[in-house]
Amino acid sequence: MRIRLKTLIIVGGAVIVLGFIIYGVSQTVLIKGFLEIEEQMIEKDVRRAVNSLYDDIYVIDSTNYDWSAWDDTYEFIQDRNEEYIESNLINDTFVTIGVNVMLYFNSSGDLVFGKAVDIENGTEVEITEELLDYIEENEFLLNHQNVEDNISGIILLTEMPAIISSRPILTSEDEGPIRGALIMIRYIDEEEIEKLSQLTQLSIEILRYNETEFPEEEISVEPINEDYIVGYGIIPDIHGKPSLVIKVNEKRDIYQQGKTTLYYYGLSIISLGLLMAIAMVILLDKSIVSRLVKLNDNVKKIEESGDVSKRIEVQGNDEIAYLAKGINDMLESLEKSEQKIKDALNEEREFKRKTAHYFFNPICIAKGFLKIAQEEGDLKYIEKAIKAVDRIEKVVKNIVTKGEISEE
Amino acid sequence: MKNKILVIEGDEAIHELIKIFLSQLDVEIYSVFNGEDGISKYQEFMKKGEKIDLVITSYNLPDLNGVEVTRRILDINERAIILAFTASLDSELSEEFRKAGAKMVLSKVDGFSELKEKVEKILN
Repeated sequence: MRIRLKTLIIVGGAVIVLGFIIYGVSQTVLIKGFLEIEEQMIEKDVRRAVNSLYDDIYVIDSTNYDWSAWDDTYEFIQDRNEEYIESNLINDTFVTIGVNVMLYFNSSGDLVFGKAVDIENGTEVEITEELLDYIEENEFLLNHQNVEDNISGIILLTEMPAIISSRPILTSEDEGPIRGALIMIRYIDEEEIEKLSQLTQLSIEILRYNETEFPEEEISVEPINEDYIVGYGIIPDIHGKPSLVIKVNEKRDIYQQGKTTLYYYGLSIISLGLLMAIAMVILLDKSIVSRLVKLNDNVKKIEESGDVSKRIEVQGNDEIAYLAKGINDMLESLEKSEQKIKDALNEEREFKRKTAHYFFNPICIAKGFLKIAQEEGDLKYIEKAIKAVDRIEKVVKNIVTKGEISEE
Repeated sequence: MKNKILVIEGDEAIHELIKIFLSQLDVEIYSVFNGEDGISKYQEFMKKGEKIDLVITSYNLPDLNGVEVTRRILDINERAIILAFTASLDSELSEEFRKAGAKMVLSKVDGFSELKEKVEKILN
């Protein structure tokens, strides 16, 4: 595999793996963070909704205090005067103070006066038997032990839950003796829930605790799907037992924002990763790979030409430059060795040629003259042949005595 | 008209033998004893418009070697016919002569009778 491709694969692979790791870690951290913020926000909203209901309980209780610690009421519970009823317990009063039912009990626990009004349309309605039975069954609502004693909270009735407040009937100076108890009831109906929703700007539902399964915690949060989440707040009744659940439905804007953020974050990582990979490949190519490729090409050219006198261009002052210089040094050594071998071969060749010249020349001369002498029977050619042999003798003598080949 | 042979050889005895052996052929022999003389002689013939039919040259000459002489004569006349007659049995040298343009390379060890046969063959 080519070094350029290898570099591309290694750098690309490293950036992809790094990108996945960064994205994976970021996804965990970011989404976890957004989920935590979302949960905190929903919890806060649920607390706000719960508190607004507690505010209503407080308002009813405060109203009850105004009415129960009042000389007129203190007198009315004893003489049951009509004037009090006509002046104070008209339907509009119920509508104004936002109370559905007012029940006046004397200290013996007998109902002295009771009235129920539909505050939606301002008409009197009947007091339900269930309500009266509930109060009878829960005597503590009527038996206030001291002037500061008061009970307020939630009660569950069959038709709907309600806010109840029970206070001792006292003088306007908050003094006794206690002449009974004034109970005010505010039904938690559709209007009440709508009012809470508008007040808190939340989508609120109020459910009975025992009718559905809810988490045990006072406040809990549960995502429904990718788009919606709900928060639950448990509200106890006057006995301290869980009675109502305020359910807050919300769109998952924070979570969706987190996903959008993560999406753009991922895009940024991919873009940056790509840019980084390209920059790394270019820089690596420029500073290392292309120089190695060039070095390799030069070595290949020298190898193909067989010309060890050629040299490689040395650039820079790093390991690649040292490698090029090392190759040049090696080529120089090779060139010297090659020259030595050439010189040795030339010497050997020259020696062989001289040997052939100094031996074969006289030999072929001798042979030539001997052949003529043989053919013509002329002794002068034998003498010429002997002269040629003498020449050989001289050459041999020079080799043996002087260590050189010559006829001199 | 007799064929002209230019013999370039440093050894006088070999000149004599070549003349004796080639005298049986109908040729004119011109003897020179070194390379430069041989080239000059060839050039001289060319200038006169005469033709040297064959050049016989040795390798070991007092001034030049036979390969160089072959190359320079062929520079003068690329159609010159050159026979290398050398004492060496070196195949590398034969190759050098052939590359330089010699038509034939013959070893002196093969003898003068062989030379006579080759010359006769070339001239015919």
